[in-house]
Amino acid sequence: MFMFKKDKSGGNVNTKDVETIIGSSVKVEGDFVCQGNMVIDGEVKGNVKTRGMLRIGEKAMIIASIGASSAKISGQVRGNVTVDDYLEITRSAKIFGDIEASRLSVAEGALLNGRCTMVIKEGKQARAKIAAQKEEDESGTAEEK
Amino acid sequence: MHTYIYDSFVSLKKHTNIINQLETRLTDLGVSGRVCRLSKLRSLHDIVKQELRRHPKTLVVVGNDWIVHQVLSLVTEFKIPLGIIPLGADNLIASGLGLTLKDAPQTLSARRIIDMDLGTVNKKVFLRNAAWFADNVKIDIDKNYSIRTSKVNMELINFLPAGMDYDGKNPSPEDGRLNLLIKKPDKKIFKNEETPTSICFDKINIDGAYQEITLDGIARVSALDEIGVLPKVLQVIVGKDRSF
Repeated sequence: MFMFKKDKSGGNVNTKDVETIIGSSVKVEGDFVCQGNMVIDGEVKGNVKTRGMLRIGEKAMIIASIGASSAKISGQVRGNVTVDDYLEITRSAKIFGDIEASRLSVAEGALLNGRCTMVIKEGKQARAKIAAQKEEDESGTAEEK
Repeated sequence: MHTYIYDSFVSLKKHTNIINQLETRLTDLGVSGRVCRLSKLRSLHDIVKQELRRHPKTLVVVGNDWIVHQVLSLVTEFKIPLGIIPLGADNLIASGLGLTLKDAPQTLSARRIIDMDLGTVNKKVFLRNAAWFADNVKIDIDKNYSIRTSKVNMELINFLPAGMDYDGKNPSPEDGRLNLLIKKPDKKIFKNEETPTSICFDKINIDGAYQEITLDGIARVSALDEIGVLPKVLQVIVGKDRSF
């Protein structure tokens, strides 16, 4: 149940729902932030962040920390990967960094060098709530003083 | 009252029958109007300026992408809805707007008007796209990240012509943004299978070597100093089969 629709011809990704595509002929540097779905087949250095879904192709080379709502990784990633929901690591993937996800699938042959943290979705939300509450309390006491 | 401006090639004998049928249909639907014909003695600019003084309800151009591109700046200046009746070859703008010669009278009569963005390159406007070949370029996007690439075809897209195969979300001419498409040119025999790059942006700055830029496949500009969008400045009558 991955986020990108597969077409009937042979499992290729239907890119019609994708807002940003980075092809293999380009190199990106900087804070690469996007609201919608994203496909990366090229080289990225910096930060990658999207509120949508992320697919990293086999030929992609990412030297960046990654944040997405869900992701499918088939290329090489040097950096931490934080995914809110589902993270799929395919057999061609090479990840050198920590990963965090609510649901995880790792294919045989994938390379994963880093710490793996599984976060329960509700737990994650609760944690965020507690952190927000803490911040509010701290600011309240500071004002009282 | 509508004003119709016929491109000079419309007067050719081979189009006589089509024009007669078209005019009959326009009269039947109650959308006929003044007809002005371009010629070597009357420039488009003069005709449009003269006609716009009469405050027509709609300015309808009859011809191909050339005449549509030429009237853009004038129509936006006077804020008059633009209608298009595609005739002849090279009608990519009309096809993207869902306009065909056959359905043109009904489309004009239905009068589905949308406010469209126009792209600008060095203050020259374009409706559909701006395209060029670039080598060794650095593109700064939204002041957040930069892209480096070389020997590629680049295109700023406002909307797509009908039937164009495009990876990624369809560009919309109503969102105040343009799409950047970067594609390796096809090799001599084989089609390039590489995934093209497609990015939607607010602000862009391009440095590097590039060739002349073609606007809407018609006009040419030599520099890429200032790229921008004029949001919702053009009122156009569109068909239901438009590409966005």
